[in-house]
Amino acid sequence: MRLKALFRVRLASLKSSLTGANRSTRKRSKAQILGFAVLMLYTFGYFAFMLYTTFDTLAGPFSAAGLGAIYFALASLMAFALMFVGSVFSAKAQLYEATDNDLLLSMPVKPGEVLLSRMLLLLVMNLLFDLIVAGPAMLAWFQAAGFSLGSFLCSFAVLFVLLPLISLALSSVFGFLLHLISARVRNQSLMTVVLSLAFLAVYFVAISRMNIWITNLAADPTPLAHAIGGVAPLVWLGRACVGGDLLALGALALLTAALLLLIWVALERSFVKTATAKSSIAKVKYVEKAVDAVSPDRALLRREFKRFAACPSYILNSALGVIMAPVAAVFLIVKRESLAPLLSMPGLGEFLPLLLLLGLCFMAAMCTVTAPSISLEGKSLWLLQSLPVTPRQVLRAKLRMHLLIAVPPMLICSAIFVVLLRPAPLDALLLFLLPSACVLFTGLLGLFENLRHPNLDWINETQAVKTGMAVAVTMLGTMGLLMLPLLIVLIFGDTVPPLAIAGGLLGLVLLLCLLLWRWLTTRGEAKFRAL
Amino acid sequence: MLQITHLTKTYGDKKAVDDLTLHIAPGEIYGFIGHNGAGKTTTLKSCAGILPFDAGEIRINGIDVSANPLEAKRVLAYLPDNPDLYNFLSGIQYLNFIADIFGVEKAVRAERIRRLADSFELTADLAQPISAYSHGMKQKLAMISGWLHEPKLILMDEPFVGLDPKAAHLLKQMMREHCDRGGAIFFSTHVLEVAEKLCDKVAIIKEGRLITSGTMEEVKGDASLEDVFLELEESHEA
Repeated sequence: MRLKALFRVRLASLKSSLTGANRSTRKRSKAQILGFAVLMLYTFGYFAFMLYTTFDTLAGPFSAAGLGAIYFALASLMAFALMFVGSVFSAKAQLYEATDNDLLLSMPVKPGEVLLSRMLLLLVMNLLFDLIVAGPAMLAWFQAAGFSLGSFLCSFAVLFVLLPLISLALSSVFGFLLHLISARVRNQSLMTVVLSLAFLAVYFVAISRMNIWITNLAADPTPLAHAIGGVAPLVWLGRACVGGDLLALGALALLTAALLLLIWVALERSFVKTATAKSSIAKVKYVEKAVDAVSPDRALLRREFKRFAACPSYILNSALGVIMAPVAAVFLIVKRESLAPLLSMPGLGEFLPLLLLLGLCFMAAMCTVTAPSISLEGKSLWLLQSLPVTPRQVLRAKLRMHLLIAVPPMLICSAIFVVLLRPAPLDALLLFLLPSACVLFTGLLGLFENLRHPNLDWINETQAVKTGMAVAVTMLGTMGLLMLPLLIVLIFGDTVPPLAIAGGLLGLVLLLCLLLWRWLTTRGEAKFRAL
Repeated sequence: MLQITHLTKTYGDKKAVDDLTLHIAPGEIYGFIGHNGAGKTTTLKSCAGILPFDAGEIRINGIDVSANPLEAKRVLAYLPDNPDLYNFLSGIQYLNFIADIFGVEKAVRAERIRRLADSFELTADLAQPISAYSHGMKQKLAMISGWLHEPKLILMDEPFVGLDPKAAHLLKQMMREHCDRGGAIFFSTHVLEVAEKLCDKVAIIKEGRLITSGTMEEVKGDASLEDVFLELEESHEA
């Protein structure tokens, strides 16, 4: 009963942060709920479809070679990787850094129940990630190898029950370790960003090489079979899925149960101590120093930067495009030899600069610094409302930070593109203007969306940054806008010159920016005042 | 200093503050008393320019809060009951932020920070992130930030909650000194003994309506403020 109540609270907070429902917003209309559901389904469907095409390539050859167990072991590894990477940082925040720790621990509730309710929410997150990989993997396999009820039930049990539990156990223990480490490190923000970027680097290397690996695997699955054959749990996992091997399934279930039990006992015993521990970093004694007095506008901008630098999830979720853009530029410099033949290729050459330009704009779309910035004010919003600053000054400071973070890397990339592609002067101008205009558009759209869907009642900052509706709408909205030129190319082919397409897009983006700025400085300011 | 005239504020159908009129003169410490949900915080937030209101007028030092909110906010300080400050800043960074917003000059802010932080015994902790502060330390930091730009009017919601006895004593002294210099203080409290000893005037509010107001002697006579408060509450229920 208590566990149910605790879990309900966690679900309610997740729902509130996903939909932006809080004290300041009215009840959502059916159309809004439907729109949100469609958006989520579209995102989910997009990734699931991409993975389905991958598994569809593999399922046939693996089935023909009698290597179904290896196919499922590979699918399980991919699902596990996504679940683990997707939930490990949330595990740290969800399990140990929730602001309701003191409240719940003061209630007649066993600490274990608090921990369990939080782990259950993590399990739900794991299952959602799992569904994106395991669903397409099963579908592709049963299409290629034929359907059998026994194999379906066993693979379902492995992929949708045991695997998420294993991921839950390991992400919980890593969440615990990350929490311990961060309590002993002075610059926690930097440490988390570095660790996360390391995870991401591994992920992107894997993704960039995935095509080659999949092609090689489809051609000859035996090397993987040998590699996986040496790891007993992976063999059990595969056998249980494909052949309904009950012994393997039992062994795997026992292993999962033992792992969960061991980790549960360790975490449950240390939960109160860990969740309530004070940082062990030595206290810095204040020494008076000369300070520089700045204008209110600069003070607001500084405040925005301080918040940005202090919150790793904010950096990682909102400024990924900024990190990726220079990486992409360096990649192009390294691969410039391969670029020359593409540029002279008939049919592609004239559109390649446009495609690269759109690629840069997509990276701008991934920079959503303003989208959670109002939600992040949280309970300290009263300060901005009681200080002698206007809502416009506050919104402008948020937009300025967004531009200062995102525009310089985009300009550097544009300069590299210009040097590599040597385009005509007008094309070069567009290469500089369009990505920067997209950055401005994303910044304004982020503020617009966050004012419409604020979430000020978050339990931890990660929740405000990761699960807010404003972030998803801003990113997907900008990406949707960038699909227009691609559609024009697909429909009209080379009848419309790339320069006209890019120029038209720039005009449209600037027009939308103007409309958004008008809204922000009129209704937006009123909305901010009324938050 | 603070003129509240026929203030009305509604949340949906509920009147949180109903036709409230209060005048607070320079040099006065004005206590605001009422049960939970009586409309104290709504009134204070309306005075601070945080909450827009439906009817009436609020003037601070002659400045209309609705028509000229920025000018009004420049001469006041608002301290809420729960000091949710910026956890990502250190204490000193927070104070400098507030000083920058109010345009307090470098030398002046350095002297005031030194004096106020020393008084509240918070100097050694100013380099620490606010996230590491206890509730009481946050309360002290909020007090320092409130006094930093030497406002004419200080609005405080339950200022004594969370303060240790020494800090509470210091705050009472600072409140009196502020008013002796010509400033004014309007604060809510549930601690009637403190109100009785500290306030020049007091107002009692119930369900958004003013029940009584005046000098402490006018309101309580020979009885204790607690007795008067309970009696007034009961008589208005009947």
